[in-house]
Amino acid sequence: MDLLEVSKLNIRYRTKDRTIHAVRDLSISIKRGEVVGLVGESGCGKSTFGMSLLRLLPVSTDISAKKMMFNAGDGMQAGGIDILELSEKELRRLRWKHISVIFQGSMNSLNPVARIGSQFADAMFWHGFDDETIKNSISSHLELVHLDDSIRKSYPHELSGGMKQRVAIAMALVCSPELVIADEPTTALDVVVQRRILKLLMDTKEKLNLSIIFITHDISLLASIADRVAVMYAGSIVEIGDVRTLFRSPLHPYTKGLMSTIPRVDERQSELVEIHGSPPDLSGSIRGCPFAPRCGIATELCAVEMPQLRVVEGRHMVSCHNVEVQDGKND
Amino acid sequence: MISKRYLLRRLTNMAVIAYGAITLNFFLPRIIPGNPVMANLFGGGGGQIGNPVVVRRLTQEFGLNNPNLLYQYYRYLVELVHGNLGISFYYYPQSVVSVIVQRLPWTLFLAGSGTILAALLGIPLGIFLAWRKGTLPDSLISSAGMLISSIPYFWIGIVLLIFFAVDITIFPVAHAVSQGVTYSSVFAYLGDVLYHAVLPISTLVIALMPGYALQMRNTMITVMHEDYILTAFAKGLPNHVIKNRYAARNAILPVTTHVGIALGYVVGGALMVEYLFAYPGLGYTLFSAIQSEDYPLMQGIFLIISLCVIFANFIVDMIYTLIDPRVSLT
Ligand SMILES: Nc1ncnc2c1ncn2[C@@H]1O[C@H](COP(=O)(O)OP(=O)(O)OP(=O)(O)O)[C@@H](O)[C@H]1O
Ligand SMILES: [Mg+2]
Repeated sequence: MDLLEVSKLNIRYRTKDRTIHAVRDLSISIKRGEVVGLVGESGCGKSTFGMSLLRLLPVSTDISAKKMMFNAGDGMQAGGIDILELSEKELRRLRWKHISVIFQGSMNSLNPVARIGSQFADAMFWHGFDDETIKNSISSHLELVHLDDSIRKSYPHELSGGMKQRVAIAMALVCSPELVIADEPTTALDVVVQRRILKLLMDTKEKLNLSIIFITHDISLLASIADRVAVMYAGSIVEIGDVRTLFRSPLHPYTKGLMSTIPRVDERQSELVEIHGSPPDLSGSIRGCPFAPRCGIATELCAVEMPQLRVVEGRHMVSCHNVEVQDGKND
Repeated sequence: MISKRYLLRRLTNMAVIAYGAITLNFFLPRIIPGNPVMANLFGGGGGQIGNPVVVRRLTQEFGLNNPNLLYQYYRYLVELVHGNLGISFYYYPQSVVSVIVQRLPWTLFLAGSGTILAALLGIPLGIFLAWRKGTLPDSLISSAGMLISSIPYFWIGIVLLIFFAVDITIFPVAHAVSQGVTYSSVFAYLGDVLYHAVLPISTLVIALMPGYALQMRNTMITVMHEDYILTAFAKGLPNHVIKNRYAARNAILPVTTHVGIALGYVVGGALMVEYLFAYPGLGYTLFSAIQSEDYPLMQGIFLIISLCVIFANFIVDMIYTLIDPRVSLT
């Protein structure tokens, strides 16, 4: 059984004057120990999807899904838990203990008036760890991200950006969750620090058998860290597959476009697909393929009918009318 | 902890500001066209002005017969250092300092307990409202708060006075203690003081509390959008921990600054309230000084009020330093 199974997830933000349909019929499963990269343009709903797994969206938000199951290894109910059915109290138990987050812009995700140590400790304390374990875990997790133990006495403003980021990573891992949602954990950092932190995250992941959903808009990052890559466009996944397959032979025109933004030095960069225009307004309903207006190979069919996500081969799936697939089976 | 060096720097800072206030207090009345101080003294305006003893003493001590303003300023500073602010015309033969020393504690008591009580009630109310932002209780209480904070102190005082001291006479109309009573014990005296202070302090609390509550509410609502609050929710912390240790703890910082800045207004309000309730503090004294054109006393009271506000701001500053780890203490 996969750790996380999401099927036909729809999320609508309700604001004063409009409804934004940010996630549209999204389906994905995550295996234990797997790193799935989630990539797409700004505003395509990546964070919204990530936050929905912890039900961290504004209360007015409308979430529905055919299935949204989290199959925790132990401790929680057998047969998995339905994330959408959880009560406040059960949600609190799921959060951080089973699914944790490294936030987009983790720089500001630490409480400025509390010491680092106490910010680790409060999460653990309320998840029922005893003092001894808390103390040891803080030390071992700080060590994990190569931070000195004395940092627990520091306040966030006393740390550099990279240090804060590492604190955020260590903190996300301190209750040994099964799944970590890493929402652009390194965007604000310089390339050297970014590399180091990614390596750290991956090493830690190996040690702890974590699953990670790695959200980014930089597809090139994923080549070295992800097992699978999911490409998201206008609230839906348009292509998903093993990292090698996707990088070698992307099928969806949008994926091809994203790939072509990666600078390459070798000859193979023959098929340069540029993406013109901008993504559709998510507050309206979209007729046909949401990518069609920007697509170079769109046909009449694309303008009227939304393509389904279909299996190309093995775990490689794509939603495009103009890609030949083996069978017409949906997800 | 606050280091000695830091404290020294803040104290120096305060001393400079205090010196500025002292200097202003000297020059301000003297640059007004017609120089009311001198005109009053020699022109025979107020109560004791005709008294040649007073005029001679003041002239001598403060070098008033020397037309050089800087020399007068120098005399003023020298006398100030010796604790001499002159003689009151109205309360002659009492000195200005002795009048102030008698009256100041009442004002400190009123303004101090008014501010502290208003903050102790207003801030938790603000936290309560922010946490329930947009609900019916929030809208109702916030609107009521906005309405009340738009009413002048004086009006609130009059309403309380008419209602609780005239209509139903459960509280005294005026004064800080009962007149012509001997007390059986210290506690009886303190009880009487509190009894007389209920209406004046309530006036201040009612006038100030909505401001603190709304300030806290609005700041906390802003803080609730910060990333670290989302982190707190993601961590699965119980609501009361997020509310108090994350949201309120951060929101209290700007509110503390606001309390400090508002102190000047609070004192202004306290002075009005004293006048209304014939409460024997500096405010009440100031009004009688104005009525009787007692310039030395007025000047002394203005000076002491500025110094108190400056000192209170220093205290607020220290408190802020202690609760915000980001303030550099070195
Ligand atoms: N709280 C909210 N209320 C209303 N609309 C929102 C809210 N949060 C996000 N949205 C909208 O939902 C859509 C998806 O936003 P989301 O933050 O999930 O994008 P993203 O893929 O994470 O983008 P980025 O790469 O910039 O972080 C956007 O159109 C955004 O405007
Ligand atoms: Mg995002």
